[in-house]
Amino acid sequence: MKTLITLWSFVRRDIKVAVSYRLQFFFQATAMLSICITFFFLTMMFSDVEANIASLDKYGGSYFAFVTIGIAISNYVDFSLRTFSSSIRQAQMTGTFEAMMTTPASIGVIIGGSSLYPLLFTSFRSVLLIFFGVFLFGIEIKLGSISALGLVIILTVICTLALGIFSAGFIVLFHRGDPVTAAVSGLTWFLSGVIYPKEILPDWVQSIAALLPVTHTLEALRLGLLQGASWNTQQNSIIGLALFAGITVPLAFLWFSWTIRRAKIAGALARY
Amino acid sequence: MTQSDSETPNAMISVRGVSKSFIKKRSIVSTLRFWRPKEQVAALDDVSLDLARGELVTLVGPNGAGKSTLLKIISTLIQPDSGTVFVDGKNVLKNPEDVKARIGYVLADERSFYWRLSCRENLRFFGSLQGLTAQNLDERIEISSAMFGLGEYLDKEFMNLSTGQRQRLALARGLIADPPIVLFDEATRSLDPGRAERMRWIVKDLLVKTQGKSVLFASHDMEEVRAISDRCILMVNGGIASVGSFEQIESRVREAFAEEARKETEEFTKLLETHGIAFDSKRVNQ
Repeated sequence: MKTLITLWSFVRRDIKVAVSYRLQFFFQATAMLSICITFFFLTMMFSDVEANIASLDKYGGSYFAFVTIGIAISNYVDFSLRTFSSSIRQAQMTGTFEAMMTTPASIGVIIGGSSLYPLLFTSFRSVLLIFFGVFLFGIEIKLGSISALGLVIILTVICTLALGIFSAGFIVLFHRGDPVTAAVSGLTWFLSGVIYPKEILPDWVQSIAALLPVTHTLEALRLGLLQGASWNTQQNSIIGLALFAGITVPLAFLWFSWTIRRAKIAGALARY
Repeated sequence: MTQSDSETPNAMISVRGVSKSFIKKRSIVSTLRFWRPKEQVAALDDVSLDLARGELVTLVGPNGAGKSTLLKIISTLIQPDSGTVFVDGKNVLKNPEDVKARIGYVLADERSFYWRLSCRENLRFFGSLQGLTAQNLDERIEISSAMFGLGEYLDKEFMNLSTGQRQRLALARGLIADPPIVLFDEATRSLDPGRAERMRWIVKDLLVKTQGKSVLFASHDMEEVRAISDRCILMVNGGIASVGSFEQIESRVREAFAEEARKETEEFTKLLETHGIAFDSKRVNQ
């Protein structure tokens, strides 16, 4: 209970800071809307040939629906990692990171608490993008197994949290130059089927793509939201995400604890 | 306060043979020569001290003497290379969370807050990390802010505070959880003379004499050290040079500060000479 109260104090802190930048909320919403509009017109450009793209059949045949979900999820992971690592970096620069480290709160609580708002805020952005797609641009939703979709979303959040913690470890150690965010964002964009179906990639590239959590999230969400897929159809994606989370979460916490120990040895917790 | 090689039972802080070196910042070329030994700078050299319950000890010394490094080691922010540190019987390396629960650390850095939050919101956040519950958080915010005259600024955003008000908020944060041990690192640096004196009164009469807290107070302000000290420790070049009442060690303290200033003046004079500028450094060192 005490831990939950402490975690909530992080979220409350970050909401208050975010609300103090009033225009930011407005610009986030307009950014999502402009992404929707861009891809809506892009889709219109090749609407004549859309029906002939076989690799889209699996996802219901609409490129606009396909790409909206792709952008919503890749944006979610990319923006979460960037917000998370920048909040750690900012805490280093202002000295609040050192101030937090003088309190008896555990490293797990500090790092978990610091990640909550970025994850919640970017979830809001992604939901907003899909909301615009559905209610303004007519994406047809065929809802499948809600429990499977819920589990996919929870596992995606956990996987993103693990990647965020890896990224924060690099920030603690090197202050700048976090390779995790750049690598995950770059590879996701290229391999996971964000703007094109991953099925068009060579088989061996698809095998590499299966190592990325976003590949499984996109597959599951597209099938679950656009094709009404059942729990059984979603099973492989859920197993892929669960494996990634099961391996990376403990590793991420070990990595972060190690980087904190290294920073304490180097006296670099407050260095920037 | 004692300084000995054996651990003192019941000491609130017990530091034994602590040494700490930092790797000197290297150029890109020397970083690439990774097989060569890294050049180190000693920050602390075999430091031992004890702080008893209800005792106020000042750490005095010129800049770079190792005062802040020692406080950071005690508060678990830095790991020592060798030696042991116990806080209320808890090892700082093995039980860091237990140690931090017993310590209030007033950082020298008065920027270490959330600038767009109010004083109250900042204290609420750090108080909750200290483990305070909603029931006692409001009460502790009220007491600790009133202690440093921040009552009327509680709902003001941190970014709109003066440097002195920020420093006072750092003091309030250090005491919000009512810890039995308080570490002050240059805590009056940005305060006006009146408030600095009031702060010294709070530390000496309220925290130590009335509440029985143990206080380690680092400062390079000699008048402050004279006013507050029962006993003080002179630190020079990472080691303990003298221990005693301020009156007993005053001449050595003055000599340590003068020596540091003398060294810097000599280096500066040499630099001026290389540029062909004549300068009589003896007048500065008088």
